[in-house]
Amino acid sequence: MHDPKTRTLPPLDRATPGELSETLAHWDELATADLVRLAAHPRSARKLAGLRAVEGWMREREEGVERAAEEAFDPARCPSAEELYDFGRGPGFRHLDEEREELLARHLATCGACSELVGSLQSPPPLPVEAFAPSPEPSHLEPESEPARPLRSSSTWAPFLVAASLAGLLLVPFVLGPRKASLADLPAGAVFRGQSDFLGQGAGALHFPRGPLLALPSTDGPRAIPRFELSALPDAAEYRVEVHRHDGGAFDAGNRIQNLHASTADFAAPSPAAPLLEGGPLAPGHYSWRAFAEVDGLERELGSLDFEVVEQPELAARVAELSPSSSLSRRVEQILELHARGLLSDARRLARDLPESPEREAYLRPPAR
Amino acid sequence: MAGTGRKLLIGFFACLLGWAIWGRPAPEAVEARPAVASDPSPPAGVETSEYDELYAAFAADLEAFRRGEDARLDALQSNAARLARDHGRDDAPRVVDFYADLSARERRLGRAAYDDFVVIWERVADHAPADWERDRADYLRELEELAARVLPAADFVPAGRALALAARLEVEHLASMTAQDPERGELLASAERHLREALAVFQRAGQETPQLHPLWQQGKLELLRGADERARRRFEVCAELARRVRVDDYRERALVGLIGLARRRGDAHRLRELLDRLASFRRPEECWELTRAYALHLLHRDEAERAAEFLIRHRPADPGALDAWRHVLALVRLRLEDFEGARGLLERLRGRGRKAEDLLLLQATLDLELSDSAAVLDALDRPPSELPEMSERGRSRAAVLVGEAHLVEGRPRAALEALERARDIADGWEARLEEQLELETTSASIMGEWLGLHAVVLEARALIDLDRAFEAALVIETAHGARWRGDGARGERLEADDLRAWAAASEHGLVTWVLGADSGAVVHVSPTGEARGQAIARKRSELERGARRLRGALLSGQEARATRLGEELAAAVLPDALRERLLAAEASDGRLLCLAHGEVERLPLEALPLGDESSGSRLLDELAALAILPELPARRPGTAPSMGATWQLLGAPLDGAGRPRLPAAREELGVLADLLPGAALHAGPGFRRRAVLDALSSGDCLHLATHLERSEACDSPRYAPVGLELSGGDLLCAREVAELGCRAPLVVLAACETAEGRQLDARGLQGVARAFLASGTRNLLVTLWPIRDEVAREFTPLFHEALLEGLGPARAARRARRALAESGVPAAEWAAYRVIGRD
Repeated sequence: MHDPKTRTLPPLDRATPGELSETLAHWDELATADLVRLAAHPRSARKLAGLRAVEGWMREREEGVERAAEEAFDPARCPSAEELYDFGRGPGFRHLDEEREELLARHLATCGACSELVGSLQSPPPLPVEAFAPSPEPSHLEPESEPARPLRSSSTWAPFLVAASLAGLLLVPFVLGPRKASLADLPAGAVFRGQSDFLGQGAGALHFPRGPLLALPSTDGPRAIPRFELSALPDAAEYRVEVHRHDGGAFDAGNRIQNLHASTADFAAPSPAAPLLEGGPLAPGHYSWRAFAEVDGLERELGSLDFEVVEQPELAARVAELSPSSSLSRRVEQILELHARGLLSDARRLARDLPESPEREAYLRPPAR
Repeated sequence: MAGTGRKLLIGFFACLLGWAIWGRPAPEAVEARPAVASDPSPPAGVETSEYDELYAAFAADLEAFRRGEDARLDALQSNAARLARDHGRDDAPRVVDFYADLSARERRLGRAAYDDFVVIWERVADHAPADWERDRADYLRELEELAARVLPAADFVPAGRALALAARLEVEHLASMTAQDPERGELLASAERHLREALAVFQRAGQETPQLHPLWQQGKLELLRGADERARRRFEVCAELARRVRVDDYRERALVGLIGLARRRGDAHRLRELLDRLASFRRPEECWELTRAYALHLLHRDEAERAAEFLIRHRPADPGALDAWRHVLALVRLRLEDFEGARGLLERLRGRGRKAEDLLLLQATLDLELSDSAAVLDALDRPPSELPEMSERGRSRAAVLVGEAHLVEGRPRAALEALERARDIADGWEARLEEQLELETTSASIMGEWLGLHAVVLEARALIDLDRAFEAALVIETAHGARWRGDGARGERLEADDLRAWAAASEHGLVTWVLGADSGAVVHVSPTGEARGQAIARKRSELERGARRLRGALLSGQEARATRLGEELAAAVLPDALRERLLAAEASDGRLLCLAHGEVERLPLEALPLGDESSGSRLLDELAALAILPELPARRPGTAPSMGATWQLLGAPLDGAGRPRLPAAREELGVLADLLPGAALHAGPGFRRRAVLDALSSGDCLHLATHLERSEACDSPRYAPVGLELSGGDLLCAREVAELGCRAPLVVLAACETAEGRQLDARGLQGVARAFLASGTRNLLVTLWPIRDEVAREFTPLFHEALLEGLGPARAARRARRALAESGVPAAEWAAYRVIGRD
């Protein structure tokens, strides 16, 4: 670790992604005032929160390990750290033979310390924020390879070594540079104490687009193609989406520029429960969309949401280069970058084209707010 | 094809017979004959259902049996049993039993009496309107004679038909009378007696379908009496019976009656429910009443553009409805500021029999929009004797138009007089409805929907123009909750001294808002009772949009955009006097009571920035400790109780399989249990209904860390269908909370969107927080939007620590918000938490 409070904070609005990542990697060396600025800035707040969660998780695990070691560890009786790690199927684990697995299972049933350690492997740590950071250039992406394997030791000081190996695993991206992204890197949704569903009184059943939406290069100039995603209403025969362009202020209703219709029958794929309507191309600017469902000939308003089509030419060029034939890791990395930059609607659009998996479904779950 | 043809033939025959024998409604003397249920010919190309075929066979057998064919009894009983078993028509076997108990001769006599009734019915139906007044008495006498002759017979059912038709003639006569007509009382009594006797006849015979007509007539009769609640109950019974016996015509009539009643009591939420019920079996193109009511509903929701599109798409085919369609379209055109379009429609309506009241008010509204206030005053600012006869609502609307015209002309005193008259009419109307029904238990809003908040805005503006801003605040508060205060002062008016006491209880006094469709007003009352008010030049829809955009920017982490939007909103809704006061204040923790009405209730006031570039921008939360109230819950604020009392900690629900639903909620309760050693803890498996009910009635402070769920099982006329999740999937509904009498000094609702609810104009958000307030809870910590489990775990201990230091809830919440904000937590997290209450 560096000496704390010695690093200076670059201007956050102008910092390159690389500078921002570098600063975040050493966030614990910042002065308190800089830390507050970092936490309050939209480009870094979420990443910093993630890093803090990682540290909290590691501290919690270390404390658990130390406590377990003090209370119950018996080097003469307990299996090695390596074996426990493999038994717990931590990332990069090696298969144990059945007989050994059975023996270990019986041991764990009676040994709280080892059992807790193995349990800690089954509860995944928060995603290291640096894994979100893109490579400086697309060409730096690593070729397909085996997953990185954490450092291992043959010491019998199992608890400490397990903790150390976990910490090592978490630090791999910091030390060795970006690793290959996989579906497991997709952020899982936070736990909320309910779901926004006061229909017609806010976002309600409307999910995306929201916030910034990336304009991609096109023959007409930069344009975003919105995909309107909402929750289905039982008995709805048809959905309608109005798109209004406005001045970006608080009050302007703007002008209706698109009026999209789709019947329930159009939503056979991906799911009738999650209607998606494709909109027309939109130039950079501020927009609102309102959605309605028609039930028995009468419309019900489902809510309203706002979004802004933004220009980020470099990023847009990289996104535009992607195709379904691009490697999975590249697509996931792009999703992670978009997500980290707050371009959630774009990240989600790319995520829909990923192969089906529990991680993808978790990522695509409608947001709580 | 052969099968279809056979079905159509059967359907035709069956409908003809069924209509004549069993379900035939009484004749329509004035209104058009019902088009669907009683139409003997099925629409071409429409296939009959299994039910229709069975019903047709049953009706044919019944007719033959009544005419003396005993051999049809077996088939009749068999089909009746199938109708009951497969289609829920339990009345069919009872009808058969009634006729099976009669001899063939008795049945034939009954059928002949029915034929006599049909002869009268046809004469009534075909009667020329010109002779109606002269002949009505003759028809009534004939019907009464028929009833008297048939009642002692074994088949007495035709007597019920005759009595129901007689009542129908009387009800229609009553509808054409004025309230002062000397014959009215006698006629009311006679119609009521006829309807009661008709119903008794049908009930004695076990026949349900024929009851529809007298039930519907009873609803109309109660309406003529002004007994709205009794009318509602009759129409509800009629609608439910019509649904059960599948007579859509009467179901439609009853629902149209209910829609009219919902409009009369300003119940927009109920109105929308009824429209959905009607639309479930009638398309807008086949039911003008549905089209009209839905278009007006959209218009009142500030959706004039959608109303116009809907009306144009559903122009009625019935020429008789075209003028009514033009009238509604003219109102919509006015709202869309298409004055020429409105004028054209108005011209087409003249001389075509529209009510004089409708045309007068439409013309005056158009004149006002065209800045011809002199024309408005010339037409409406007259003694009642010089105006056409008007409904109460019409009179109140006329008074509002006169008030607005005077205000435009720069005569606030004259405006005030007219606007007070409008409010008095609304108060009188509300009082009369209250005599029949506790409006508090419904979603009705006389001030918000019947009179309209526009009238309250105008009155407040007139008072502000007259330098009587304090009275403006009093008017605003009275309009937002005059009749249902929580301390037993029901029906009492808020007095000036009461409002002064509320202002004096907070270091920065109080601020109150009223937002109408086109503009609003805001008044700040300082602790010493000095008031300053100003107009809000924003439409309700604009403020709703602004609040939504600010919330969206906060939630998506666009903090710079949130600041810009917040500045616009702050400039629009915060009075200058208050901004100056707060920015000049030495201390930053003074309390400000915000009586947040309309869209302000949803606005994250705490995150609004104040100040400018020279002085530096600071959030409202940094300048004052806000306590929010949707209405004054009592005449006086009372003394703040101790928050250090016993706490009950509840939450961390388990799902049906015993798994924790909120990992951080358990930790949160654990931390609080350490912080509050005397607290009782009911978490996880202990978070059950019994424990929660005991806690709610204990008088202790409560902390609930759980989910807020939406569930139709929690629906109620007043509250949104939401509830707090308990362990095992159980829910404690908002409506249950309201009835529990939870008089806790403070309840923490650490769940998602606990401040939210069903929005009722002039009554605010009706959800779980409002249910606690209604039940007597003094203070609540609530959330404006969904909150993260782990952030709640961080926030609430900070709040409790501040309480333990002796701070009141408003200041404690502010300290917790500031602590999170200063540690870098985005506003999306801390700005969600707010205190509703009075410390």
